[in-house]
Amino acid sequence: MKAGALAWLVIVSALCAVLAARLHRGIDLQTDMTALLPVEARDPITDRAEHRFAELLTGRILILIGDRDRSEARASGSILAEALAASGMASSVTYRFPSDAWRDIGKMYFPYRYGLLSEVDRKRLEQNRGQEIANRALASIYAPASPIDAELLRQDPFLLLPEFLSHLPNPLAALTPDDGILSIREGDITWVMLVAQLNGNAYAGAFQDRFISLFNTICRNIATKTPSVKILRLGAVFYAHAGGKSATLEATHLSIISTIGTTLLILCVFRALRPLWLMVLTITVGVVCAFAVCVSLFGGLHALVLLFGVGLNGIAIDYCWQYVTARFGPKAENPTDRLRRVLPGIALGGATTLIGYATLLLAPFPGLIQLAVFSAVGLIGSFVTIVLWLPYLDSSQPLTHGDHMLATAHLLWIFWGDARYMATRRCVLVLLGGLVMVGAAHLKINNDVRRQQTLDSTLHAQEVLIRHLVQMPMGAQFVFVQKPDREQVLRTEEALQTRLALATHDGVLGGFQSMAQFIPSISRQRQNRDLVANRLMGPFLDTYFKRLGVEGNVQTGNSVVTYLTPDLITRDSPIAFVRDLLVESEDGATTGLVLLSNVERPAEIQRIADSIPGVHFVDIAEEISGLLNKDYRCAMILIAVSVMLMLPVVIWRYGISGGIRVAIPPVIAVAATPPLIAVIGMDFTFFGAMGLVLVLSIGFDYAVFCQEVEKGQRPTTMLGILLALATTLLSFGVLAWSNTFAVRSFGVTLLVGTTLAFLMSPIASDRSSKLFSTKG
Amino acid sequence: LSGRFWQTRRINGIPTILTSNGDFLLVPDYGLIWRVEQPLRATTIITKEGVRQIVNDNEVQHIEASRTPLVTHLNELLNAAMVGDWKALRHDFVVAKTGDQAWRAILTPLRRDDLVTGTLSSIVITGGATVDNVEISHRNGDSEHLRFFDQTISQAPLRDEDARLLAGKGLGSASHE
Repeated sequence: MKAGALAWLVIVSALCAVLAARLHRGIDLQTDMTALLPVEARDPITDRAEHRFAELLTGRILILIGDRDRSEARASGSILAEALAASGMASSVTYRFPSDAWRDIGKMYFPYRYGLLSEVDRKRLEQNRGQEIANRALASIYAPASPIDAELLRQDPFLLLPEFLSHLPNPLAALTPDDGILSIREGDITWVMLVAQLNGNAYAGAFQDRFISLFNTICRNIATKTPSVKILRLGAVFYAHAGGKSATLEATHLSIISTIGTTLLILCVFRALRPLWLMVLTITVGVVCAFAVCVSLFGGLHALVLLFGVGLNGIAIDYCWQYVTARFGPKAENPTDRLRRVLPGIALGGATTLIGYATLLLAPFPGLIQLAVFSAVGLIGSFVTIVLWLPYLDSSQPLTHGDHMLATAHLLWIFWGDARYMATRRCVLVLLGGLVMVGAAHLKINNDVRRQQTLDSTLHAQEVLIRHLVQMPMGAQFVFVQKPDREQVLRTEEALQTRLALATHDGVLGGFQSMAQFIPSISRQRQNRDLVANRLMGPFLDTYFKRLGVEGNVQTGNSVVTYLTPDLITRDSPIAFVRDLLVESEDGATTGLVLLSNVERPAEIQRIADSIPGVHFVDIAEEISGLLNKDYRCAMILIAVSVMLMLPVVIWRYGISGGIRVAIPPVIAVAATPPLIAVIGMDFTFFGAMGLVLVLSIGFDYAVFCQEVEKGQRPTTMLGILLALATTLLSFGVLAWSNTFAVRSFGVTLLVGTTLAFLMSPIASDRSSKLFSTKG
Repeated sequence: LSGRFWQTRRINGIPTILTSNGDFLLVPDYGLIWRVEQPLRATTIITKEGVRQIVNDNEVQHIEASRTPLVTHLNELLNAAMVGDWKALRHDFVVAKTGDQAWRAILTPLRRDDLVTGTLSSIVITGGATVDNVEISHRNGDSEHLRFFDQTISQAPLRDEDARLLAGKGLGSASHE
């Protein structure tokens, strides 16, 4: 034994060293939910394109700076723009445009004007309704205050380009350029807009912290200078930071509650500190082992894995309780004897738990596999610590002050075993059955991430205000088009455009933006030129000019042989954002992004996308929800599988009827918890399913302890279980009060599930508990 | 406010002087209907929602205000000029007004690089009880002269047709939008 303890000390020290080295180099703690994406067989090009666009969207920030005084708002905007640009944390900052930037858009398009037709004009010419275009041009000339001059009349007699430009999608239409800066006047406040693209990952903690602290410093400087200035912010980085901050704060509060609670519990029960140290040591060794092994195996760790993993590892405390409460029992003088007495129970409990965690390895999701390794290694680490170290560190004094507690804990056993309570037992079971049935009818499984993220309310209010002011639609959905070259992408986008325009008309979505709207494909430009030459200029130009008395030549533009291409949009153009809608990757594929806004019926978009080759519909929120749904189903199947795998172990030890008996309390707890949660009106989620994994293992532990115990030791065992339950509730049950929906779901599941498992645990013992018979 | 107008337009480089006439209806805070009768029948309806043009009972243009704030702004200025709303005009122009009963106002753009007013060199408005003449001069030498007459201010409800146009509907039976 001594040799074992020393060997374990060597191993743990080595793992500590590994972990320390890793921590020193910095550990990549992922927080991005998309990092949990399943390792499905996905097209790597699709994957990369999607990733790139998602990064583009999450890296964008939009700031509105407002003040009653126009010049104060503008000055503050300049300070922010300069500071952001100087920080090196933004790859682009868009604030002030050169005053002729908008005219430059016209200049860019002008040489190619005969190849550019608005959708409506193209239809008119296709249907030989050129007269309408001629009439419109005349009407425009005679309209009041029309800005038409002779030059324009000669070069674009039918005013086709102004018509094309006025039909371009304008996502920021609510903003007007005011002396080079996009502004909105609402009430007496002038808002100016700044857009920036961050050059770091908005979800990476370190970048987030650096950026937010910089941003806040700039804002404070502005506020000191001009206290009246209001700054509204919108961007994933702000949400992610606020989310992280509130989660940290909440985790701190909850962990203070559970630490103080657990400490008080141990002090009250044992009137000594030593059991506390033993438990802390047990868990710490487990977590260190798990952490070290995981970072060595996977290189990094997902934050959710760490969170749940530490939780799953926490189950080791149940074995610790069994060991330390043995001091209250009879014949408790020698720590090694005490260990020997509880060893079969905790070994078997540990084995079933290990099976439960190991089944997670079967899951095809990287997240669950990491979690399985983390918790299994942690559990083994803790278990070995209990067996090899605790007897040496423990006091040999038996405890004698526990009679009252032992008697109380034993009451549950009496309730299940004593013939007097049979009627009550039946009533309780019937009541439970009834509640489960009611709950089952109301049970809703919901893995919609949009509901599970709790958005920071101040930021959300700012977002609503920004979206109202800028009239920006909601949604992070997009379609992307993949083809071997640019021309084919643009042509496909044009085909898609026709379908999407119809769908927009039908209310399927609010609108869309694509490169092809700004830069038509070359084949489309060629068609347009033919239409203009043959169906507009040819039949109508002479009469039109005669009517206006215009003499001289018309530059019909047919001399232009080149075509408009996306490269012509410059980086500082007000429509520079369009450049991001087309990506040419080095592997030869070209991807076009079509942004969708206010998608009402995603299924129809999916149908449209499916009907055009090379078009994929992406809905990030939907994708993560779908992923969680899959994870959820997977976790539920795995729970069933692990029951099947645990059964042989308990049957091997207790025989068929004994084994089944042991399985009853955990299985009931797992099956009844989701409906019981539904009774209180909560939806069941993937995170709840993760809770059930833990409930199952805990339930098996309690049941095994009850089955193993000798008659004389029953009160001690029950006290151990009761205390284990109390710690579980103190560490996980409190999560039921979390503000984060996911964590709350996990917490409530554990609260209900473990309580149930505890209450049923004596059923597992075939020696004294009879449910419905008065014999025994 | 309703009345008739006579518009002459000189476009530098085109020998013909473009003249047109027709009637107009301006409903404050609502919109403007500009009905050209000669030399062609064309109706321009300018409201907060946008600009529409109807020629020979066919809607040939419909620009939503949300897409082109510039157009909206232009029309706000036009409305302000037609009713003599100096306060609104001072956002974009230096206004020099002389006379009282019969007055004359000269407007010069505040910002030369403004997309709407930047191409103008001046606007001269004369009037008495109502605005009678608006002379718009562009920096490129083009000019536009609007003469208003037979103006009446009425509180009477709008004619059905006009109400329909302002509400964004088509011309009578011509359109069923």
